[in-house]
Amino acid sequence: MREAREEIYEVFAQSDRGEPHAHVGSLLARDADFALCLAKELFCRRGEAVSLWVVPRGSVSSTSLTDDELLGASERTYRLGEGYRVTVEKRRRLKEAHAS
Amino acid sequence: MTEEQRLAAFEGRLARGERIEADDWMPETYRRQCLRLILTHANSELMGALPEREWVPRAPGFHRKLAVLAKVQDEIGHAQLIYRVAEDLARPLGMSRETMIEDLAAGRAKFHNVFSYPAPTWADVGIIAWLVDGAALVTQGALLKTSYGPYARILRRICAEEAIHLKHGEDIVLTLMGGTAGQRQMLQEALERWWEPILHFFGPPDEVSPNTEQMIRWGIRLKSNEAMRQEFLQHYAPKILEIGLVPPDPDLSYDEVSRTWHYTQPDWDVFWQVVKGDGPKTKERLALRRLSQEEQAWVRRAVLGKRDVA
Amino acid sequence: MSAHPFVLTLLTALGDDEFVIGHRDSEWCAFAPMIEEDVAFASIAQDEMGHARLYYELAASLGGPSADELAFSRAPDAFRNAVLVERQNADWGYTVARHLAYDTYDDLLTGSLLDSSLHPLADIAALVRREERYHLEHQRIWARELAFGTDESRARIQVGLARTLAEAAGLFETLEWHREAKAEGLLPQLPEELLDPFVKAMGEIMTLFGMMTPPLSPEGGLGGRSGHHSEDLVTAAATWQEVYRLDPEATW
Repeated sequence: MREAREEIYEVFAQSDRGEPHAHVGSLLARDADFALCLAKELFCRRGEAVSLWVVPRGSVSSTSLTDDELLGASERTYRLGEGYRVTVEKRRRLKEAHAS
Repeated sequence: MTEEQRLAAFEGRLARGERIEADDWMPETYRRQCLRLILTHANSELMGALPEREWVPRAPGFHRKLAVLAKVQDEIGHAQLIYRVAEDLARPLGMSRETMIEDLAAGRAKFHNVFSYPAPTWADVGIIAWLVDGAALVTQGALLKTSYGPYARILRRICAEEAIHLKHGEDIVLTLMGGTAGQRQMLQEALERWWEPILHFFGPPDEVSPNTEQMIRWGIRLKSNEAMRQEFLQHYAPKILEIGLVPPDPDLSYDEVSRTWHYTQPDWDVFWQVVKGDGPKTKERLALRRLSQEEQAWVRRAVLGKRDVA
Repeated sequence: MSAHPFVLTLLTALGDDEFVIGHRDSEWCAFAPMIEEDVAFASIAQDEMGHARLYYELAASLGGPSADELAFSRAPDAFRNAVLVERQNADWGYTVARHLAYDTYDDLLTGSLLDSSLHPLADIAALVRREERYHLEHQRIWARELAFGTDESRARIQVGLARTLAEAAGLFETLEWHREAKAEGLLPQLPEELLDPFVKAMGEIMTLFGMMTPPLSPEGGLGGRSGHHSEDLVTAAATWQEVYRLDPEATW
């Protein structure tokens, strides 16, 4: 006789081949194959996905709110496209200088 | 951080339009108000399935039988999504889905008035799917921007599915209206039965309680009852009238000046009676729910283990 | 392929099994043991009725009545489903057991229909098998859950299986029109030829889940294929035909 238990499973669905799996919700089930069996009808009964993942909630580690301030913080304009707006200006000046 | 600082930070987040997530710090009142709103919704989806599922075994023809079954399936699916959100939000309060449904079945929890009314004919199925779901779509659409993240996210899916239900309901209505004299009469009578409950659905006009004010300030709910009732009438009254159905309100009319719909106020005493648990079908349906919970408890015990299972 | 009576009878019988069990499945809607399962089982119900419609529509295309007429207008004694599938729902243990048996039978049946000389029928069988794979998996998981759950759940699935196998023989009843269909290649295997593989398959599942294999009564649940049904079908049909019969000429 196995120990009956209930777990929350997080469900991730891939809408189309090549797309990432996105979180679509959670469900209660006893184990992974039961969770997959149920997830198919709960989250894919209109054929919205080509692939499903189920993960026990306990297996998901996450950052906390204060971490998100840390995750987004610093001044790193060299990593962003907008850090290079000045480049357009440099080109314009050089072009002008060369033409004259 | 002091409690005051936490509250200020929390309200700052709301002011910036940020969503609150399940594990975030939130004032106790915010948690409880969200939970009350969300639970009423979950309970309503579960109770709403009952009048409609009576017609699954009797639906005329393959197309309708499959469509009604799929619709009720969606409602149960919505209940699943919403109870999950409620459970996560209620974790610090020690509530589980099992206890929430027990509360509902015992008559201790609230659900929308409309699901306490009988659905005696096939035409009621059409009216419910078109107009009751239409009303729900107005109130749920108004909640899409709710500040509580997990609820906002599932509402997107729920609203998308309700939109399909509307089409299904409208199709039944139009088919009956374009059918035999008997079918048209069945439909007219169903509309007359549901008119007042649907107007009631949005809640009393200009009901400004401290609770509502707080919920609007915190972005839990965003529109007033009357605003939503007007939105419903704007959209559906013309569609009802143009096919020859006659709502049981001779004073129903559009005022070009105020750009609002005039209607006879429904009896609000009846509304409060129903909401407090005394609707025509309330006790019977709650008893059905209780019976089902009890009869199937052995399955949940076997599969899910001891988790407050009766 | 001309529409010999045995062709229409075969297709109708195939549809009747699916329609009736689908109807029984749909009666669990909003009352299933777990909310998640309610949603999943409603899909199974829709699948079965969808399969019924496919078989019926093929019959219609060969000169038979429409799918709606077949399901919603015929008197109970015109139905050719096995008695097993018309039985009233009892507890969840019976539902799981009955569906497990039915899906096991259906797997064997549609497997053989893939070689039918009636190509549209082979196509339907292929489509049905895609969905039935999920049904069988679903039923196996539930049989496992109940068998390994609590003493009570184990007892209930055992009782469900006993009741099911007491009437399963009706699925394998072989009549003259089955033989005619086989002679024409429509039905590669007679129902009675599926009995041994069925018993074997059920035995394997039960061994896997540590359950006792109840006996299959050879005389149990017979009569459905020739229109001899129980009161259960009479009351069920009266219900599902109720609105349609208000005005069969009307569009609903």
